[in-house]
Amino acid sequence: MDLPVQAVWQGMINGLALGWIYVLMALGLTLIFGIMHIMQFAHGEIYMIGAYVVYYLTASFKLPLVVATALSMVVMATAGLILERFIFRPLKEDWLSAVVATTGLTLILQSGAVVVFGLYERSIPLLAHGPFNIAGIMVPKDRVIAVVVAVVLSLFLYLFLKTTKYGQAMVASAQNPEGAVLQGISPNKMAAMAMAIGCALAAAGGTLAGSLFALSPFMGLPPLVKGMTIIVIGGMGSLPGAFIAGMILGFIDGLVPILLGHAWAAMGPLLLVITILVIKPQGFFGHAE
Amino acid sequence: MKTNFSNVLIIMLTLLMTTALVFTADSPVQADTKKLKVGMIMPLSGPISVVGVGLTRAVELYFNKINEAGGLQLGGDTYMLELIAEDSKVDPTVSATATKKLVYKDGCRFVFGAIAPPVAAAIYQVCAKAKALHLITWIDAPGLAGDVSPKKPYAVRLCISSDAGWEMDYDYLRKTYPEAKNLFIVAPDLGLPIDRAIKVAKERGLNVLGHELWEDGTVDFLPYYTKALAAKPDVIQAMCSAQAGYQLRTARQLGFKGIFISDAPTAPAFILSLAGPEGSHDVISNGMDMNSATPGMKECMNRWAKKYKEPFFSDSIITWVEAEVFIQALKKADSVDPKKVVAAFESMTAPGSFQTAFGPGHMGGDKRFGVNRVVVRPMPISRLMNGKIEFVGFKMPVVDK
Repeated sequence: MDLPVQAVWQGMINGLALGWIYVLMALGLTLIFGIMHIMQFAHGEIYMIGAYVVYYLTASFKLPLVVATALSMVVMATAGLILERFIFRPLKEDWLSAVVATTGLTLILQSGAVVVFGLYERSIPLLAHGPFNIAGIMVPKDRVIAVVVAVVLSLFLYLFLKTTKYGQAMVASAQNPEGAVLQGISPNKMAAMAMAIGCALAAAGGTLAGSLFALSPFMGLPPLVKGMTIIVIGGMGSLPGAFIAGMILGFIDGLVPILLGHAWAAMGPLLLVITILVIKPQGFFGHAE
Repeated sequence: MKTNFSNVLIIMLTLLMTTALVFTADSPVQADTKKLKVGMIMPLSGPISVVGVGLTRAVELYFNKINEAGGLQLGGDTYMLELIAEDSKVDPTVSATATKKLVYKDGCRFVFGAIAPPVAAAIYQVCAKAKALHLITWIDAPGLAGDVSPKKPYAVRLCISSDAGWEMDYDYLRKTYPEAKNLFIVAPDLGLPIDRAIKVAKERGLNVLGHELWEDGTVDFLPYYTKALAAKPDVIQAMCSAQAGYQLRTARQLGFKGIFISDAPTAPAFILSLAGPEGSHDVISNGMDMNSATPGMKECMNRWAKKYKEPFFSDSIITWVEAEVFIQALKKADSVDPKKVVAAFESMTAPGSFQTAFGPGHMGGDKRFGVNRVVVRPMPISRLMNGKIEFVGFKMPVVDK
């Protein structure tokens, strides 16, 4: 069957939406890794729990989706502060213990979600119903809104890091931790902020995914794997790298299934990771140590 | 003295014998009460444990019903049923080990299971060696590993594969939507006989434009539906997919306004909850509308509500009915010998040979599988229109084609 141009454009829009959801996930992971030097394996579960918080706020309290999402981001940011203070801060000198802790946290949060939320699949209300008809191309409204939301959140993050005192302090901490301490920047405060912002972004990503796809206690693993793939491709701790790699992966997932089939779409990111690791192991924007 | 002692002994013995005669005269011989252990292998942990647990609970509830009524009278003995459930973990090796435990350690002569065909195949291998009967509870597509065949004397399929409903679905489609002629199939890649679907559709004047197969684990259906809608179909058939609700939602989000068919036993209420009222129009579903539940289904739901705090899992009706059929076969065999029970199943080919919560059924499969060891019983059809479920009724599927 010859694919019409509309199908290709739809694939590109879908790729854009998927890419931005991955970017939200990866930005949080990259921020946490850049400041705290910890790979937060439980980030997928934060994404999942953020989505469930939105589900309960909309289903039980009938809150509008926008309000529920904002509240979920605040709740998960607070959860991030608690996790940083009581789990990650005591382990910051011991890398291996932090890995074990995050892995354990993943299992605890996932099992807890099964007990609390149950296994029945649920769904967050749609971001919008129906499609936009753009020159004969039917583009789902919810995917477009997902892109807009993710772009706005990423812009906020960018502006925060570039223009605010705390944001610049975070950038300084990531670039030169010792220098930042000498300038009077508290590493604990920066770690707490990174964790809070990362968790809030994960909650937003989870909400978008929970609205576009299905909500389940096991929904956190695939995007975590995507996020880590993005970090490898884009460079550890690099925000521009996370953005570019996220977009690449999004377009692979949105367009390749339509053009070449799903087997190639599954292989694509893996081939890319292998290529990057061979050519430039530190990633597109990472720095060689 | 010696004479007095003898007299006392004789009197006591006489009294004892008289008492025994009085209390045993005219009373029926008490049947021995035995335990009939039945195994069940389902995914009790992991992502699809909600399905495995639900299906297991339904069999347990049905067995409780039989035990509360005094058990099963078979071959002069009374049997109380005990269900022993093991976790398959959707892994053939784990399932084989669990089956060995059921048949060799627990002494089960009948084993229900499973959901995935490779797991069912693994269960059968162990059952066949132990001469225990494998009661197949689910099959994605007919003829897969784990299904019945003449080479498998210890397998009986208690479930209907979803393809058996295609004739009735297409007939209902043509009757209700005579203008809709162009069909596109978006199916899970489970080995479904798509060629048969195309043939059956063409026999009814439907034009199959194409088909797309998606892998297990897919969450984003947009690429598949993008390709499907590029062919401009009037009807999209999602076949046997538990994700029918998400697929319908995706199709509507892409602007598809046509008819959507779901062959899965997923309740139409679940499809409605996912697709929303706006998307739930012109949907044909083979899931049971629990608002139109039969008395047998209501009994299952009531028993569930009394015992479990989780909401009723509507797919559980499937194994409730399977347990119904199994018990009727046991009664027909009047024996717990698996070979006799298989013979009983194979003799129940006349319509109405057994009763189920879906209606009367019989065994079939001789023409297609070479053995009459597949349950044939009515399947429900519902239609979703304007956010409401309309229960159309029950129709008999076609198993032997």
